[in-house]
Amino acid sequence: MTFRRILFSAGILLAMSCSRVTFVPVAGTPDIFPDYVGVTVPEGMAPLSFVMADGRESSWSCERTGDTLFYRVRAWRKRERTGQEYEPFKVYVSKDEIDPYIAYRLIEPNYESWKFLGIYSRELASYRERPIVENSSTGGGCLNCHSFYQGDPARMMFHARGAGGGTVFRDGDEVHKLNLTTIGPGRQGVYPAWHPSGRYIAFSSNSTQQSFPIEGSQPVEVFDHFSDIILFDTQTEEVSTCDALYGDAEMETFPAWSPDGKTLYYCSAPQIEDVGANRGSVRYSLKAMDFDDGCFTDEPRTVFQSDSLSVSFPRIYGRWLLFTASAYGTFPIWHDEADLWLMDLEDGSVRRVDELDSDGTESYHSWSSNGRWIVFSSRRIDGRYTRLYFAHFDGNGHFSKPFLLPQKDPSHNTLRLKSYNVPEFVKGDPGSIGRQVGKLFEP
Amino acid sequence: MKRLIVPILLFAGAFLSTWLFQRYTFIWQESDGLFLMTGDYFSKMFSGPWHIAGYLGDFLSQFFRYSFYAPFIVGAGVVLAFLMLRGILRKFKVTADLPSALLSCALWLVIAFAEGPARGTAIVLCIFVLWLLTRLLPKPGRELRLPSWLDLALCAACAAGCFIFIATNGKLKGRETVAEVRYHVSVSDWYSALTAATPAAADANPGILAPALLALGETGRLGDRLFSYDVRSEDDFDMVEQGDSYESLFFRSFLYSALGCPSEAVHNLSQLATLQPHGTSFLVLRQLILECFRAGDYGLVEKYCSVLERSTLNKAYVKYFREQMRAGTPHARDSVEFRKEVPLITHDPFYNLYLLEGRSPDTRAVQDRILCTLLLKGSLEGFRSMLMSSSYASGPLPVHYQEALLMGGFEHEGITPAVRERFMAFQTDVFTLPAARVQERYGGTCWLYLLSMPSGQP
Repeated sequence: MTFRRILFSAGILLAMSCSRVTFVPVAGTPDIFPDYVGVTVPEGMAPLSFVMADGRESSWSCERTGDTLFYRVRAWRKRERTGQEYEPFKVYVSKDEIDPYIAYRLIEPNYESWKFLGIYSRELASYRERPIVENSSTGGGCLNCHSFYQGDPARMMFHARGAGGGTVFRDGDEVHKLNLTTIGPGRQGVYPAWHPSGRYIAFSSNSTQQSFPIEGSQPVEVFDHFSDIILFDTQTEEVSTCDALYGDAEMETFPAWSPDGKTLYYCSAPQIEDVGANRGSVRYSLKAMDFDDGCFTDEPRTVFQSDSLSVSFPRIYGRWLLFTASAYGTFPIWHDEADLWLMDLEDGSVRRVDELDSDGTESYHSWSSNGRWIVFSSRRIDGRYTRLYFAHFDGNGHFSKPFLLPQKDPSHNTLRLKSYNVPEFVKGDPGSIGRQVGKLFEP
Repeated sequence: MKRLIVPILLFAGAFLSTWLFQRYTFIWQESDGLFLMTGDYFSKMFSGPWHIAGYLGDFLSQFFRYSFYAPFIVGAGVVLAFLMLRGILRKFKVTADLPSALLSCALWLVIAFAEGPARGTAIVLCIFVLWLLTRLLPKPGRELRLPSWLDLALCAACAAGCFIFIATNGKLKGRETVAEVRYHVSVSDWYSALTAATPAAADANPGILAPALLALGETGRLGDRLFSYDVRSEDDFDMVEQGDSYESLFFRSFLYSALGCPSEAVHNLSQLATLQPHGTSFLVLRQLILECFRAGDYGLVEKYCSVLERSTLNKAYVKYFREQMRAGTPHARDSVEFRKEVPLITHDPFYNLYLLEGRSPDTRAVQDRILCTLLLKGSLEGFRSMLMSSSYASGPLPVHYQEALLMGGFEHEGITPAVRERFMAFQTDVFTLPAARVQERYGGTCWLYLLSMPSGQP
């Protein structure tokens, strides 16, 4: 009897506390974090979760009408009796499918060293994140530049640096390691590009240095002393080079294949003395070279060059080439001015993608397997910790407003002290290969 | 009353030994530790090696920030272990005070020597589980009796032994000194840092030599007292050879912070974070907030504040910086033109000092470090040249600068007659007196350092 009384009293108190706030309708949409107002999401995406940007308490409800979600938000301050009820904001649901997973690396944006890092997969229909491989499997060394062959979860590669390091290849259940520096010209692979045939991988081979400006808002500057492009044959496990892509005159980097595999696009800048001191004058142009039957043919041709832009990370889907452009240099993630640009390979037109732009850095990007979505990294939230954004592509050169990778708790975006690197779409669950990789690194 | 004597003795002993001899050690455990009420932290702790003990230990270690709490928690932990052990052993023995006290003292020593809170917490938790299990056993048939006076005397002797051991143990003393110096450096209390980092203490704990010299610089005494420490090369000054060790990263983060170079301070702090068990720590987070605030990067300050406020005891710190941000204005981002040209920090700290000269808000401190590095390199010509282009070009000079000028045969209006006379005496004594007498008479001067340089005479 007493317990029932307590329960009844608690219910009354709860009801009283809830009914205290009265909500006044206000014009306009709420200022929420993450900003999901008016974005376009794929069908089946994990539910969007958000809070008021100014820290007020909030509750919301969602109704769907056709392809549009209407979010009705109420916000109030603690201990205040009046709250605000905003006009419903819309979220559009696209019927264009998105790949079910993405893969990325999580690492502290901590310059030269790290403690815990790994390559992780995230199911886009849920909030589930799982490690594909962590550096605890490789003796604590760095893992980087993971790449899936056309989004196939069973076929991937990544580099493991440090003692006993090498390039790890996964093909189904088989995982093996190869030290590229022991074959061919003896150069390590860095940025990979998997040929559409699946047989070849073009790697850039970069001699990279990090440096730290003595003052100002830019914390790190990264540049290459030199770089070349090498070609790895996965069947023969041989590395070959081509004079036009390998030598002292130019620094070639960021390879990317055309969808038909007949052209290799890459970035290139003239080799200069003392790159660190003269970094402001280093601008990479976009070049292309024909490829046929395992050989580079013809001479390199310049596809895009600018006196004020330096090109990096070309990524191609069909006739569209998306790249990052910064004012100079080869490592745009530390450049506030870095933005995404879109090139139409059919007519050669180039434009900055303003609809994806922010005051912060926009950098690494990847197309979904159907070319209707992109994922890209941006530092727009705090200027330092890279987060992942998605945007819908209409196939005619235009993107929708980007939205942040949904998290169950929106504060996760703030509390996580790691950056998301190299986001790639994956067509299925890559699972974990930590145990197999660990065996490769056993002493 | 007799039953309470042993717990009181143990509590008093553990409390006092921690308070008197390990205060800064425990404060530093808090600085190097982390506890956040977040899902990520929780899952990481429970997948880690210490599981719940690590989680609980980190929770408790937050309170070590305030010097009263660590002695209290250690004392309470030892007493709790004693009471539970006594409860366990009483199931099997008539009296259990002495063996329980012995085991509790062992726990006390484990806590005193442990690098973090996890081990001690794990032991207390194990005892707790055993205690719970023994509750299931039937009550002993024999009547329980109070401890004898002999038992009490032995327990007291045991507690006193632990106390004395902790008070006199060299390893613990060294650790306490290092922690004390680090703590004072971390709060920029340079005078207290110097009080702790005496030349004798720096001899015994080489890791505090560079922070001590930094404190000398920040108090404007570098040119007067540099050679009172046993400095053997410029590496003692900048810790380059230690690479990315904890000591050197800690030192460099506070060096560049003191010299007004927040970007490099943040760089070294971030590197330091990667050496912490959780990939960051309270010290790192608090210092990142401070440095990012100085750099006018309010976005990052807010981020780190959001993280830090998930701990228990840092809310006032967070509130302070949020109020400061409301009153201030974030710095504008640099233009591309500026970023293209700004010099880059190198791995040569000496060169970095030249880059910082004129940029630092405390140019005198930078100049002192340049001048002292030149002295440590034995470059008297370079020293004089730098001196004449610095704020020391005219006016009074620190003692070591006077000594160096005399040694190099240079003149300056700041050289006092006393130093001049002493130098004349030195020139005679160095050839006539035994080395020990010369050391005794001229120890702590620039002259002996320069003469003992491996490359020979400067």
